[in-house]
Amino acid sequence: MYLKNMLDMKKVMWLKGSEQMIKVNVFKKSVLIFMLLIISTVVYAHGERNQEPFLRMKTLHWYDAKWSVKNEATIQVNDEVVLEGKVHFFSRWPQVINKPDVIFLANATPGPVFIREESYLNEVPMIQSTGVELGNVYDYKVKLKARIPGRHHVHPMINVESAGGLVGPGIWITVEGNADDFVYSVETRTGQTIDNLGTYATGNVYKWHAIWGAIALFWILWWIRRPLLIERYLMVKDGQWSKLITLTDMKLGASLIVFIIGLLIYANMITKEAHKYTIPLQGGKAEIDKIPNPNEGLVYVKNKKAEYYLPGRTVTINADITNNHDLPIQLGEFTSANLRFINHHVPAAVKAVDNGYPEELVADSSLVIDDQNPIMPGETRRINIDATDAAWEVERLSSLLNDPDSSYGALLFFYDTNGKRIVSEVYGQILPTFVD
Amino acid sequence: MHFTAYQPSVTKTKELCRTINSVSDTILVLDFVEEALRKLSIELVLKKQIDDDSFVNKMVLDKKVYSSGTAKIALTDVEGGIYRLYANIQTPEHTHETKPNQRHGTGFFEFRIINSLAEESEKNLLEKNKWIFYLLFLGAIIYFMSKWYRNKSPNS
Repeated sequence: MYLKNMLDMKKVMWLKGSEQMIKVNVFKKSVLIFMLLIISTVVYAHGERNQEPFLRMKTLHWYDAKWSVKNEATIQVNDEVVLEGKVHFFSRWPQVINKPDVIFLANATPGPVFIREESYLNEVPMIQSTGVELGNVYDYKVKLKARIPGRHHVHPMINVESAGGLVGPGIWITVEGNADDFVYSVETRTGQTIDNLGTYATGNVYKWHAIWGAIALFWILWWIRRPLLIERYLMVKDGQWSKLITLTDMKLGASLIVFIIGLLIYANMITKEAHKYTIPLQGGKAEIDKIPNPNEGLVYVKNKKAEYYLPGRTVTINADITNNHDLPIQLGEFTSANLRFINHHVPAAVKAVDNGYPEELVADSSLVIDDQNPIMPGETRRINIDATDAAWEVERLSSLLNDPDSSYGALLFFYDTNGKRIVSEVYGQILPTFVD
Repeated sequence: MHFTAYQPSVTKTKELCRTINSVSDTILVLDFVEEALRKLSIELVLKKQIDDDSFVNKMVLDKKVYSSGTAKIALTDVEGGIYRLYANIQTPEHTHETKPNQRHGTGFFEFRIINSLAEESEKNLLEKNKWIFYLLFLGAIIYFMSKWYRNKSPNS
């Protein structure tokens, strides 16, 4: 009796203490959630600026990017947009992130405001992941369909396994219309037309969710209908393990296992009956061949020194350029982290900037080369490249100076006298300076 | 526009903003976030406060188009005080590309420079080394709490 009274008292004290603890925890969580709701704001674009500079400069270089609509265009719900161009996988991939052995081509938008109808790398459909080789260029193409009205920033993106998304250049697109009017119709390989994939078989989805939800709810209620944590804890403390699970509990559990397996078999049967021809979800990787680069080795670039002049927002690169081509070449463009610096002394480079290309990504008059004379065949010349623009700061690329990996990577576009473009990588350590 | 200040000899590459804690050589940098500003003629004027209501010109940079989107001002012989950096935007007449509110406008950014070295030298030993007292106080709290816990424990 005494022991029982003690146990009861302990239980009451414990219950009261737990009750208070629970109340405090609930209060704390409510305050935290409330604070999050107050301080959270809507985010629009440029989340890529949050990525470390070395990630954006030494992984992917997107170029020849084109969109089937102009920057700041307005389209309607159900209209299609095509993103295409080239993506270069930098040979000096950062050691701290996974190599692109498993990647997935996607698009970066603020949520599913577009659906992705098709995607290709080197004309191979990218429904599954694939793997690529460093130092190579691949042609990408992504076809999107507008779904949710609003003003959206739209980029191509490649997800690298265990590393995250690496985003390409983006444009603003305004989508008008009504989200309820969105329709995505497909024809299956058996000739069946599905009017709208967005709403196809949703009734079936709700039904099965309800069935499984009901089973789960029943199972939970079965256990929590009796005194739960404290009572059971005290029983364990008293060494009454065997009373925790009754014979009825075991019979019910066994019956539920049989019922669930039976339900799964039945569901499988009726699904096979309704859809005789199905293809399993593909688990393998898509294989793509790299396209041989006919210009490989035509121009060799060796970084000798690189500095970032902080007050002037200028990256200065001192490099040896060796022309192994049989025509004279000139440096036309320096590009890194989606920023393009154009040499206005090279007409082919100026022409390569499409009308309507996002202004904030092109530093128009800010590439200065100390020696504009063409580099002759067989010649090695040391040139000084100055790339000046506030974009280094706005895009938060100057924070590479605070990285444990203060190195940069970029592409240099050379043009020969016939206007042919030769792309070379340049990379090296970079240091800050306050001396102009 | 985005304002940044640097004091290379004191804080190296650290970006400073409204309060600059030293009178060393300072470089002020303005970055034009808005693309349209790169096409406009901008005059930069640095003023220093002399009393509660008035500011006097310290430095004037003539009107210029900053096509790279960045402008810098190097200050030497810096004095402590409150400063304002004015950006006067002016566009030529008949510019159809600019919106009416971009055609003429002035804005300023206020910041202050403190001679913290002078302030530091005026402090006494106690004020200069107050971190030691914080550490001792923390140590005392830990000691008394552990003593209370030991006394409370049934095995003590």
